[in-house]
Amino acid sequence: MNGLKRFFVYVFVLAFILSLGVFASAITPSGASTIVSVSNSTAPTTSPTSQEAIAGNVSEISIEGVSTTQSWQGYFGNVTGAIRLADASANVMYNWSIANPSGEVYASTSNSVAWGSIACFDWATNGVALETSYGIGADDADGVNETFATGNGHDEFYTAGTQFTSGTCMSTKVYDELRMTSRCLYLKMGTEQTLQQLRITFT
Amino acid sequence: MNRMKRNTVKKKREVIFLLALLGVTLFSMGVLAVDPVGPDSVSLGSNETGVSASAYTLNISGGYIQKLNLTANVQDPRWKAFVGEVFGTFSLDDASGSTIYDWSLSTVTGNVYATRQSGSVSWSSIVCANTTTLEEENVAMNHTNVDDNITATFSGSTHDAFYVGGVQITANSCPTLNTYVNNATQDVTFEEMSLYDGSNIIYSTILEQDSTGYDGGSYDFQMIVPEKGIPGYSGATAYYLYVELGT
Repeated sequence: MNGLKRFFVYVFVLAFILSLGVFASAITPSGASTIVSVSNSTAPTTSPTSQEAIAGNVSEISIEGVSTTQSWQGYFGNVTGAIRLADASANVMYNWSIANPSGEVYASTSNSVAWGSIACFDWATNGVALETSYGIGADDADGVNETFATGNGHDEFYTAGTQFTSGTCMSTKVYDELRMTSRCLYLKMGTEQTLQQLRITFT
Repeated sequence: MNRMKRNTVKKKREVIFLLALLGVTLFSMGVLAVDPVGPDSVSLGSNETGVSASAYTLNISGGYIQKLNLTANVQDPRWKAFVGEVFGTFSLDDASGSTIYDWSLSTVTGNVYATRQSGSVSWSSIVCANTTTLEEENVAMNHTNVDDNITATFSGSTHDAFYVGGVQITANSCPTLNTYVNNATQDVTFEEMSLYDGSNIIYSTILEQDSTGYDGGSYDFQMIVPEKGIPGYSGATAYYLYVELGT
């Protein structure tokens, strides 16, 4: 380096390490930036049918009825969005459009979920309390454990860095247009427990 | 006598030739390009990430089905960014660091480089990265998402010409991106190119001079670099910064 110029360089790096810092943490689920409600409906009530019977006869009839559950509600729709690199003030350094979003949608009774404590729902410990909180009887045909069960084989997924291997959580499959259970859509139950509260998260 | 004259002329020519050779040598030494160097000091400012949006409240009755369309902007865990300013001087030092003279820089020009390579970079072998080398980096960094992997991100090709040490990179020859200005896309400032030294990807950004940055602030450089895309990954990949001024 004799006789050669040398640069003294002081780099003041504001170092907005905007995604992961030295002590990095996985990205937690966030609220949607916009939600557009498209429709909200329930099944129409079926008009009664009449059945004539002759006095003095004993008539055997088979009745098939469909009642709308009062214990469940459903959500469906489309997801669009972008993944971005932004700072704490939501200033965007870079943005990527997602042609085909993949991931999970979560629904919870809590607006403050401790994502770092997420786990599969422990039915044995908390199942009765859950159904009681919703006014669901233990033997109701549309109860929680009649709807969600282990062994339904959901796909592996991650929630805020926590891995859930395939089939480990209670899950169910919603219907497709042919009223067949879908191969693609799974609903899974997870739990974030504190000493005082039980928060149920459906994914 | 004539022989003596011829010998004298010959010696003069030899001396002139040697002096000329020496002058060329000294001149050559004086214009040898200097490879990018690590900064003498780095002062870290803030280190932050985006804030998650709050959950949306839905309130419908049992037995009802709600159709919704969700739009979400989520933080990308597979990229991270550096942004800041560069202060520098030109200095003429010997091997022990003693300075015979230095010059302060009123304006800063040049490049900042970032690479995962912890050892020496082969600056003399630097070329533009290409699809093959970027795809190799995708594999190395587990970037499997086709929307935001390294190849998809460095999708542009418009950039100014610049030098890396003594190697000229011609304009519009390397995979490029422009980081945002005032939260918006742009293709004028903060150009970032992907380079390759035969073994490693090196990300390079051309220095600006107190230019308006992604958040409206004033910066000399902004650049994004990939982080490992393994699901659930909570570590941090180290990047090594180099600076080259006055090119």
